[in-house]
Amino acid sequence: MSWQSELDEQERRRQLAAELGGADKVARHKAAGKLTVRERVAGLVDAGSFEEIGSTAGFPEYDSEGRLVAFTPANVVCGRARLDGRDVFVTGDDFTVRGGANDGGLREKFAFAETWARRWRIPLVRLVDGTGGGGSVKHLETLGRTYLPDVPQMTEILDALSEIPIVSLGLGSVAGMGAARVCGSHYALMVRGTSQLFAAGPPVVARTGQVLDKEELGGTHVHVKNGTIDDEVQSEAEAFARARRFLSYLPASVYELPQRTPCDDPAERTAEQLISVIPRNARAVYKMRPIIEAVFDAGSWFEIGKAWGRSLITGLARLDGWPVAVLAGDPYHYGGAWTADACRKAIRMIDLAQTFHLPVVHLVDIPGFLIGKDAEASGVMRYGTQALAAVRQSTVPWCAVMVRKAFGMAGLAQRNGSPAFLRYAWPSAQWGSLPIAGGVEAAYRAVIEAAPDPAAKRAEIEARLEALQSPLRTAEAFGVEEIIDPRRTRSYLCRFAALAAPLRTTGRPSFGYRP
Amino acid sequence: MAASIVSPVAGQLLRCLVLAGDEVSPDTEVAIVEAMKMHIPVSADRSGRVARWLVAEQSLVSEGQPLLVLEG
Repeated sequence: MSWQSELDEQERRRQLAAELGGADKVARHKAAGKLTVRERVAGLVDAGSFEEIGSTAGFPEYDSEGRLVAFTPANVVCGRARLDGRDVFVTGDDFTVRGGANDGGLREKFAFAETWARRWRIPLVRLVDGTGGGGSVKHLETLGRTYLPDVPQMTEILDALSEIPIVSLGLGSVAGMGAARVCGSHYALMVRGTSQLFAAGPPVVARTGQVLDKEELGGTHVHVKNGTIDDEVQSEAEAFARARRFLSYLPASVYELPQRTPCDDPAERTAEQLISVIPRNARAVYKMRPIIEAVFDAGSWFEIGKAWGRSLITGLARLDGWPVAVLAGDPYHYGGAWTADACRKAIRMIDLAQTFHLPVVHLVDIPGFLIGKDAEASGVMRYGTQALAAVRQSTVPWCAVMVRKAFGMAGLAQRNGSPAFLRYAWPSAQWGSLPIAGGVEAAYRAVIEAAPDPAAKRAEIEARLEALQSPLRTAEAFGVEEIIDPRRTRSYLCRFAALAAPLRTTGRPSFGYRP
Repeated sequence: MAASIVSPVAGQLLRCLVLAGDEVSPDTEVAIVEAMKMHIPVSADRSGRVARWLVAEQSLVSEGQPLLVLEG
C-alpha cells in the first residue's frame, strides 16, 4: 500500500493551479506587456529556490461522484525563497483570477502571505497587481448585506514595517488595498507604462466629472514626483533587480544588523578632483552625485527617490563594505534648499536608517528651508520641523561632511542626536544663522540708507562680513571639530563606518512625537 | 514634434543662453535661473531646434513653467 494516488491527485491540482486564470486570460495579461505571477516569482528569486506554500489553495469544482472537474487557484501565490542567498518571503497577486482582487483569493491565504515573513523575521517582497479588498460591489448581492470596512490583519501588516524590510513592486493597475500595499513598504517601485496606482480608478473618478485614463490618473509620472512611490523602473526585470539590490543593504529584520560585504576599493583611496569641485563663486552650482560616487565604495551607490524632493539626494551606499544611509544636498535644485517634499524625503530615509540600524552620512549643502510664497503655501516649516525632529530623534551613528552651506534652521539637519556623532568640514564650507546677502539689508538698513552711496555702503559691509565667514575662524573657536582635505574624505568616512559598526544595536525603533 | 523646456525651479530667469534657430542637445545649457541666490543652469534634456522663447529675461518663473519651445 502506498499513498501515491493522493500525491498524484495533489500534483494534478498543482498543474491546474499553474494554468492560473486560464489560457485566454493569461494571453490577454501578457499582451498588455506584463509577466504572469509565476514568471514574476521566477524572475525575482534565486533559481530553484522558491518553496511555494499553499500551492493548491483555491476554488475546486467537484462532480456528483466527488471527482475534481475544475480548479481555479487562489489569486495569491506565495512562498519562501532566497534572494542572493538570503531568505525572503514572496507574495504575488494573480491578475488573471478576478483581476487580482482580494475576493479572488482565500482570506486565510492572504492573511498568511502578509504576516508570515514578520513571524520568521525575514524580508517580505510583494508583487502587487490587484485592486481593492472588496473586489466588486457585485459581492454585495452574494453576501446579502454590507459590512464595516476592515482588514483583520491590518494592524499586524502595518506593524511589520517596524520589524522586517518590506519591498513592494507595483506591477499593474493597483487601487484601494492594492495601492495601500504598495505604499505600505520601505521601498516602493512601479513599472512605467504598465503600472498605475490610485485610491480609485478611472470609472469611479469619472463620476466626479474628471474623465481620465488610468495612465493620466495614476501613472508613474504622477507618483514619482509626489513621493507616493520611491522610484519608477522601465521593466519588471529592472524592478526585480532593484528589489534585490535594496535588500542587500539591510538586515533580515530589526533583530539583526546590516552585514558588511567584501570590498576591494581601498579605504585610503583619495579623489584628486575633490580639491576643486566646489566653485569659489558662491552663486555657482556643482554636481553632488559625482562627489558621492567618489567617496563611497566603488559601485555601491544606490539612489532612492531621484525624481522628487530633488534638492536632497537620498540613498544607500557602502564604506569599506559597511552599509550606510546617505543624505546629500543638490544645489541644482533651489541651491539645495529643503522644500516641503525634500523634508518628507529626508524623514523617509532617516526612518529607514533608524529602523534598520544604518549609520548615516550627510554631505551637507543646505542654504536653508526654501523661502517664498510657493514654499509657504506648501507648508515648508511644518514639514521642516518634522524633518528636524526625525533627524534629532534618530540615534544611529552619524557623520556630517560640511561640503558647502549650512544656514538657518534647516542647517540644524546637519547632525542628529546621537552621541556617536562626527563632523568634518571642507574648506569650501560656510555657515551661519543667516546668509550675509539677505541679512545685511535687515541688520544694517539705517546705516546703508544714511550713506551718501547706499549701494557702495552695502558692498563694503558685505565684504567686511564675508571676510569673517571663513570656516577656519569657526575651527579656531572649535565651532567645528576639524577641517579636512576634501581629497581624503573617503578615508575619514571609512574610519567612521568602522567606528560606528560596534555601536549599532538591534531592536525595534521607537520614534518620539513629531510636530 | 514640438516640446517645451521647463524651469526646474521657481525663480528669476537670469539669462537665456540660446537663440531661436539654435540647435541644442540634451546637455546644452539653455538658461540660467536664479533661486535661493544660486545661478541654476537649465539643461535642454533633449535634442532639437529652438523655435521660440516663451519668457523674457528677468521674468519670474514658477517651477515647471515652460521657458522655450523646441522643434524637431
